[in-house]
Amino acid sequence: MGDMGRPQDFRAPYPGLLEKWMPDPDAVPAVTPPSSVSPEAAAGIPLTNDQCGFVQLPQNPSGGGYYTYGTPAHGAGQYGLPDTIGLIGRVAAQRTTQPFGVGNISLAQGGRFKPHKTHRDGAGVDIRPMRSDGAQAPSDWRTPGYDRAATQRLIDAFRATGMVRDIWFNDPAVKGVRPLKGHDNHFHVDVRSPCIKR
Amino acid sequence: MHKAMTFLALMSCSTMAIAQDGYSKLAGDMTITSKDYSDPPAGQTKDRVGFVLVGSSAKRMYDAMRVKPETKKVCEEGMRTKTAGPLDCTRSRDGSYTCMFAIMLTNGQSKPFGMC
Repeated sequence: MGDMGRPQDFRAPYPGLLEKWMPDPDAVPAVTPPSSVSPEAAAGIPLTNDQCGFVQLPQNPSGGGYYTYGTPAHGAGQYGLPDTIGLIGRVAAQRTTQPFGVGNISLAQGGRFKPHKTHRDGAGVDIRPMRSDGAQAPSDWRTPGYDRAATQRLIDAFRATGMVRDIWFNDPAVKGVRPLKGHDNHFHVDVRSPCIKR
Repeated sequence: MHKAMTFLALMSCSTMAIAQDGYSKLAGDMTITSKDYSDPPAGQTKDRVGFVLVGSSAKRMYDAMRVKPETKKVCEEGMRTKTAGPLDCTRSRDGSYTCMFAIMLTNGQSKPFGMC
């Protein structure tokens, strides 16, 4: 992990770029999503630690297209790579219906995040399946109130960014996902990032 | 050479941590939690204790489990997971070990614990 887990100002890795979709309560919600990778990465310039440092997901932004949930409180488990935070913002900026729930990403300094086996590198994020009642509450594909069509649209939106390596979710009727034990009340998005060598 | 020395030192420490009677210190954490511990519905009863064992104690358990490690249906590339009922022990890509399980506080039964 090295020092890549140092929390930073949210905008720092993309000066002038993330502001385009950063939720601003005073702004008209006409936004332009950022590109899938930083300009430096797109140009083939090696990324520095600063560009691969963790940034915190803005918490419950007004009109942001998403809401936050999960433990530890106050977004302490919602630090991610700039690409991960950018992906969430990009999908959120396209939302015209109910916001989606964003859960655990990584801890500020990275490392083990109990009781997760992963979520150490800032490139994985848990998302709640959509609910038909629009409530910002837990959801499970096996229980009443789960909105399969809305969940499929959300997964399609993540996939359409081209920034996704994999999505794990157990609803067999949803396309673009792979089943994996434990992924019933959330789907896990594994983000493609030049900061992660796999 | 340096890596070999480090490895031998770690092995030595690991061996030293196991007493003659076969016991060693546990490293890990526990939590009192509920069935849907990752995202519990409001009011769900906290009826179990979840254990997360790490380090040499988790490695001892992993090595002692006589089941073939799963390498395909795992949380990330390079991960190896051994499962025996609710007991789940994992060797991560970085070489670290984790074992997770829960025990019901109502009847002592073991339950799965942990997630990707």
